[in-house]
Amino acid sequence: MDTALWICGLVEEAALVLLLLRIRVFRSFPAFFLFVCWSLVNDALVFALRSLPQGTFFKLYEAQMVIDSAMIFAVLVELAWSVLRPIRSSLPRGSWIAIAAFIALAGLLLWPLAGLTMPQYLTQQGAIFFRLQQTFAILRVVIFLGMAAFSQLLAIGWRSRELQIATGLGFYSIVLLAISVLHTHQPVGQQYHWLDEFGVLCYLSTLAYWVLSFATKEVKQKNFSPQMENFLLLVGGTARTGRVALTDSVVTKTRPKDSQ
Amino acid sequence: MIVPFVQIAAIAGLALYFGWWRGRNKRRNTQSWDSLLARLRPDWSAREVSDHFLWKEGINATPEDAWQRMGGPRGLWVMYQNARVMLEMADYAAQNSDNVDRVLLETLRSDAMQIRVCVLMALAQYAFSQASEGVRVNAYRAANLYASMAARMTQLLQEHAAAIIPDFVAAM
Repeated sequence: MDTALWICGLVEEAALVLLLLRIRVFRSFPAFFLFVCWSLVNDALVFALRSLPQGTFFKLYEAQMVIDSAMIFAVLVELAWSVLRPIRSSLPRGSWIAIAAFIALAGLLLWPLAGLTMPQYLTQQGAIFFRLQQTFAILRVVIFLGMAAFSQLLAIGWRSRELQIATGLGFYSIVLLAISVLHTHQPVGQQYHWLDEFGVLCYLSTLAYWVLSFATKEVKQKNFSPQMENFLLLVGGTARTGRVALTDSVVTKTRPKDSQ
Repeated sequence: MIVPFVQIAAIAGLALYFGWWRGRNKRRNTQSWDSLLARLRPDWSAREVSDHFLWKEGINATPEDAWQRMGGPRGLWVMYQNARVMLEMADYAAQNSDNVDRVLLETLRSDAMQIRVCVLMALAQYAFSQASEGVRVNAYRAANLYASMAARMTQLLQEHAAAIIPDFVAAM
């Protein structure tokens, strides 16, 4: 069963990489493209080296998890920056660095929280591994939902591709978090492993969703009449006029005070 | 024993919110121009703060009067919702035309967001200090931008789609 799931994952990841290359997604979402490529290489490597002694395999798994976490971090920053596209011009230069710092800070704050419900049976090394896994599971969900809430508050729209990437990652992140939480309340055994298999199935579903989404062409433009364009020109012009008038009125109002 | 249930309930809540948000965004990307116009909320009209609302720009009221006439937070909330529709109109234009001036679209987005931010600030201040001067100034700024946008929209409809003016006037 595990081998079958693993092979399915590799096939889907390879299909997704080819698809992303064909439609040149790496231009608009380089971090996401690298993340998918990394997942393919990593899964193939782990599959090939699965017969290694447990200690060596665990060290390899640990290193892979650190790189995986860094990749996820980059994808989150990229997605947040992409969503802010409509208001980028009004943001200071290098705002993406602030976004990255904010996400990193959120991760640091979540680290102690993730350690609150640790299973007792874990070794010291296992506990660090488990905590890292849980921190990133919570971080992904928190950042995704934070982005969703913020964009909803300011009515920022998500383009189709952004929405597809966010849907896949968001769904898988929520599943991972649920599994991680359930693991803290159950002993290691068959049921523990079933939950992991369920997680893999959800990952395969996410990959299948991405393959289907990226294989579908984006919705063609609707007929946008010159009248509608004029409408926007007029409305946009008004917004500016209103702002200038308001600024003038505020300046006029404050001048007597200034001269006192 | 209760901790796992609380954790799972919280995650289920997050999953539901995520699903709802995702559905809303998907609908937003596929809506039509007519459905956008139909979503303008008529609960409160800026006629209350402008004698020539829809026909002339600007408002003829002081911040104090404007606050009274917009019915406090009720009017603010309608402006908040309608500013969202304006933003979606800008997104619609960006998605469906390559000829629309991108800088102007960004200006429109920025201004509609300004209305929303002004409204949110006014509502937050109102929650703590009722109708203080800060609340009234923010509400006035939002109403001024809002009334001007509406006047331009009427002008455009008059020139290009006079048939829907009665519906638009009724909706506003």
